[in-house]
Amino acid sequence: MTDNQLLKEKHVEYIINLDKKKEDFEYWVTEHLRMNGMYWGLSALSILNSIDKMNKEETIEWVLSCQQPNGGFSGNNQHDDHLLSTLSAVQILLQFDALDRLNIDAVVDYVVSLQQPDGSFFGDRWGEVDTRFTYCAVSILSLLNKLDKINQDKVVEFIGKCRNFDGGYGCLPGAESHAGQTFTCIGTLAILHRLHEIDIDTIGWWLCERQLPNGGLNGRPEKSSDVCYSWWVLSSLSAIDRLHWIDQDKLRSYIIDCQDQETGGIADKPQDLPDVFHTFFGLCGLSLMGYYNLEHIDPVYALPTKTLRKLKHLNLTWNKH
Amino acid sequence: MHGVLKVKTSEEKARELKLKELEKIKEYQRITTKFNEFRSQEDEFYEEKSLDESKIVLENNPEYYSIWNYRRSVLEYLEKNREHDEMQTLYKNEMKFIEECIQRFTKSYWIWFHRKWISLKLDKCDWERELKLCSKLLDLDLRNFHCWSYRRFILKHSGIPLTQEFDYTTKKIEQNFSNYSAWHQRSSLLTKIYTEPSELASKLKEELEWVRNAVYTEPKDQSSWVYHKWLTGTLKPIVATTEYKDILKSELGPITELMELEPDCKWPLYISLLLKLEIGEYPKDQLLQDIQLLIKLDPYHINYYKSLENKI
Repeated sequence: MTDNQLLKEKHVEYIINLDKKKEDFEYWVTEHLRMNGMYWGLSALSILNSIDKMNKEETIEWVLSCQQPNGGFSGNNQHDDHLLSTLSAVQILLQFDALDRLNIDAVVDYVVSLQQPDGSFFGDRWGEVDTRFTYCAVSILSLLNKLDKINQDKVVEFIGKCRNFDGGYGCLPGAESHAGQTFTCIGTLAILHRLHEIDIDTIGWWLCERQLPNGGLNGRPEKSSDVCYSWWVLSSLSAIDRLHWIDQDKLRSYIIDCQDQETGGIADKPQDLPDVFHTFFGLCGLSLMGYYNLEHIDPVYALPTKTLRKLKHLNLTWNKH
Repeated sequence: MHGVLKVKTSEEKARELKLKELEKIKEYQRITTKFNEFRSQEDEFYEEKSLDESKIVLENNPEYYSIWNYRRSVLEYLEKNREHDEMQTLYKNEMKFIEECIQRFTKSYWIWFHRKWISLKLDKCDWERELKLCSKLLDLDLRNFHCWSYRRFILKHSGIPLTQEFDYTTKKIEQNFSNYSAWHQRSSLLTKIYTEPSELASKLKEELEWVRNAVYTEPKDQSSWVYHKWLTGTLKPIVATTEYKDILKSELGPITELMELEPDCKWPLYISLLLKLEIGEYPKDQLLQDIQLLIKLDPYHINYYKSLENKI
């Protein structure tokens, strides 16, 4: 592919047809991920200015049906609650302007109950700790304007403990730096207005070194490139105002090469099968870099900037759009 | 979906594959439906049978997190109704089951968490054996971060000396200088083992000697350079300024030699530039020239290198 064309219509087609893939084994073994999948698909449509293609009422009803008695949301009906799916549920409802139909107090109580004395968060009552869950908790509470319900200083302290020798961040204190976890930690600090805690030169350099000669980005040194890092790495660079430290044209070509010319959708690597996760993150990368007139996505909340602008209590200091 | 190549097939072959796919779906649905029926009837009065019935779903789909939760609920329930020894046997069996799953699905967050949860229920977990399991898995995939993470969990709960793990990182790095995960583990161990600044400083100086072999052998690999950058940065606040500058100057010599051997490699040039900027005694033109050369060798990162001009 040399003309760098973004197949917008095909991608819209691909996403709205995802729920018809019931003849794929993958559809069934990812049932528990449906809430995340819905968020990825819906937000991809938002970026493509086609959110109206989704059945709004049906989706809202389904999302609300996944709220559990403890206030958290499950990944699908008949699954258990988790912070990962709870954030996606809030993000979906927000994009449909339907937060007024949400039992907000129950969600807030759920999130607050998962914070630990050291500032970290459990993902659910079973006690797994990960910086991904910290991000989910902080993002949810911030979107719902309830950040005052948790100990924010402790959150920042915990994130600080997850910082490594290369300036990046991992899942837990002592865990190797990973671009995904770096996004969650930088995102958390940004939401809490504590970006000054970051050593920008060190992490900015580590992040821009994720770009490989093929233009794509990897998530850790000496690994291969993957479209999802067009989000995890790029959003982190954008939040610390260092997007220009990578070669954006090269990355654009890489993402474009990962499109499926026949079915639409974007894959992890050129020639691979597409999926909704990589479609969303590929589009996010293109949106952040300002190509193709896409709807702008906020690098910290992973939601369209125009949606976030409606929430007057947010102060997106890192976002010039 | 990661790394699933799209393959072109004939129509006949495609039909055949589709039939197989439908068979697979049917079988999976049969398994999950059977389990859900069983579950709806037991009404949270669990028995050992609950563990048996849920096994098969996880063997087919280890990402089905609610069923891992279910197994822990069953065990929590049984704990209130069974003798201690009986429970210990159940936990040991669970460890065996997880071990089978983990070898097939090495990167599932849910399985690794379940193993941590069960291991802490055992009266006496065989932590040495757990470490060996990790080593075996890391021989197959040296960058599996779940596995490295589990090693740190073992160290925390077992009392196995950190120096033993430090020696393991030495072995892994010597096997393959590109093992960034091992370099990372080493960096985090050093500051835990040597808590006294003077002890740490002398160990870090030893490490500078040790890392030299790696950068000389694999100069294009960033792993050892990142480690080198960390070593000098960590030394800065714990040694006197004059000593710090002397250390940097003595590093500069061999790195400059390496630049001559590897004129197309950006790493020795980049690290030497950082050292020079830290030492602060080099003429501006020379530093600007280094930056220009870096841009020539690595044009993708032009804006990053240009940002270094502000540090001169």
